[in-house]
Amino acid sequence: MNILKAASINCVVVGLISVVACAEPEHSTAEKTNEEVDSLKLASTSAIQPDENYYPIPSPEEMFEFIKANQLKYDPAKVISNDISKFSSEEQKAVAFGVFSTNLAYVASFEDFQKSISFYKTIRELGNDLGIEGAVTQNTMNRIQAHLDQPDSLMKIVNNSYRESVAFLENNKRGNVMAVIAASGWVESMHIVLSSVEKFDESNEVMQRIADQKLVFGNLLAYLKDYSDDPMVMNMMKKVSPVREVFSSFEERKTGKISNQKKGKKLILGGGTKIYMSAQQFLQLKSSVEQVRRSMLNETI
Amino acid sequence: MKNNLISIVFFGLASITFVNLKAQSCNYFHKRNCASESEIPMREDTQSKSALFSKGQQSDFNMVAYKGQDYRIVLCTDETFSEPVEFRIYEKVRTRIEPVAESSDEPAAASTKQEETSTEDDGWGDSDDGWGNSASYDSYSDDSWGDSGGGNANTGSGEYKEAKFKLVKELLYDNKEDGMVQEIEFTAENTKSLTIEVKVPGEAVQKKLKIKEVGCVGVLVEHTKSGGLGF
Repeated sequence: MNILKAASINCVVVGLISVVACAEPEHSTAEKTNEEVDSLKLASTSAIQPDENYYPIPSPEEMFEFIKANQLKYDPAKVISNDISKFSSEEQKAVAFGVFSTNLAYVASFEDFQKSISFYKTIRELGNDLGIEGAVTQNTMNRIQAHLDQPDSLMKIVNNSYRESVAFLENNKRGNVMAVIAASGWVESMHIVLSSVEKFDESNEVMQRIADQKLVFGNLLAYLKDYSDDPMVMNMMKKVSPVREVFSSFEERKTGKISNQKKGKKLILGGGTKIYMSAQQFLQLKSSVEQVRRSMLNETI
Repeated sequence: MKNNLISIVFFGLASITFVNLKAQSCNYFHKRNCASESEIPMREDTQSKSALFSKGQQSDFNMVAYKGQDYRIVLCTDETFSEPVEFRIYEKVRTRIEPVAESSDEPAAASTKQEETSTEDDGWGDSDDGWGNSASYDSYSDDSWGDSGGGNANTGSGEYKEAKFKLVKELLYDNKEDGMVQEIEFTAENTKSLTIEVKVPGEAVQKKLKIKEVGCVGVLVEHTKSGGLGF
């Protein structure tokens, strides 16, 4: 009886703590206990990872905003067909989730509302198959439909939904799935951007933004490497190697000694290196991205 | 005795559950709590991040800052941490290493000459950059890729005729030298790969830590199109 009582009390404690943490109000600290726990055990819960490295998940939205601002044309023919019947394994579904999320960001940033809804439905289905709860809901779908005439709101909803998916996967120790989604999404965004550029023009800002993706790709590789003991992540690392090879050939020239200088409240970070991409390297990058994209999708389509 | 054992197990589980849930509640901490004092409007950057920290813990947040954009980084913590957090901004620079040895079975161990590196210990512990072996075949500094190193690769005979690269972090900013401010605005003259090193003050707990010693830290990154550097 006493054992049961003790167990019941503790169950209530666990339950209460869960409720407190879930219902934590904004701008406040959750209740604390003085319980001492083994920090190694805590670390193994993935909640605390001492000296952790956080890599940003490349989000396609900013790239598309940039190309839109630089007058690149919208072409609905660049997006993938909505048929997901051939994506069967977890790996294939993760690749598809990344690719479709990027396509959604593309069509939404160019205010193609009908396509946005259609892609969102597809992502919702894939999200359910991948067990990504909460981020892809009927409620979000309703909000998208309610904001069809407000492009900014639509983009916000789409972006929040993507971030919710990232948070859900990270919190549930499914960083391996997130890594595959991030990589495939980035490849798809490069496919759309590179195929939108008609000819190489060194003076065009878009070219420099494309060359600078070498740095983003570096962070992406580091993120993949964190999960490289996972077979599907290792597979993705192998698949993106042609792109890695091309980026490796991009020259990085020093522009001056690294410096910082304050102008008013703003810090000016000077010097460092500039990444250079030649016309030939641009074509090589374009070709390698297409090769990687085909290899990502050919196994599934 | 049995009661005590069960209590210990359940309290242990409760503590771990709490920390996991607390970590989840940190998800959008920066969105809710990191507000800039500046009047310059900027857009939230998707490179923003929040995480659960313990006292004395240091973590690295990596980001890319594009040329032509102004950035603002705002740090915030929950009430667990009474003192402002320390942060430093580093630029990750790929530094060319001239190969000296013509032939070697162990390329990473080959004798090398570095150009303008600054790898001295900064007192913040080991600065593992997550890029694997520091002296490698291609500019991504990772030799686990066999010979796919884009022109810098192993020729097959153990010779490495072209340059290798090493990733080096160069310090750009330290808030300890700037009154421990919790936000900074900057613009980059070239696109830069940055590491924001964040450290919560306090003594790092080696084994046992109290749950009251953990809390959320938010790193809000915002950006806007740069208005130019002069008038």
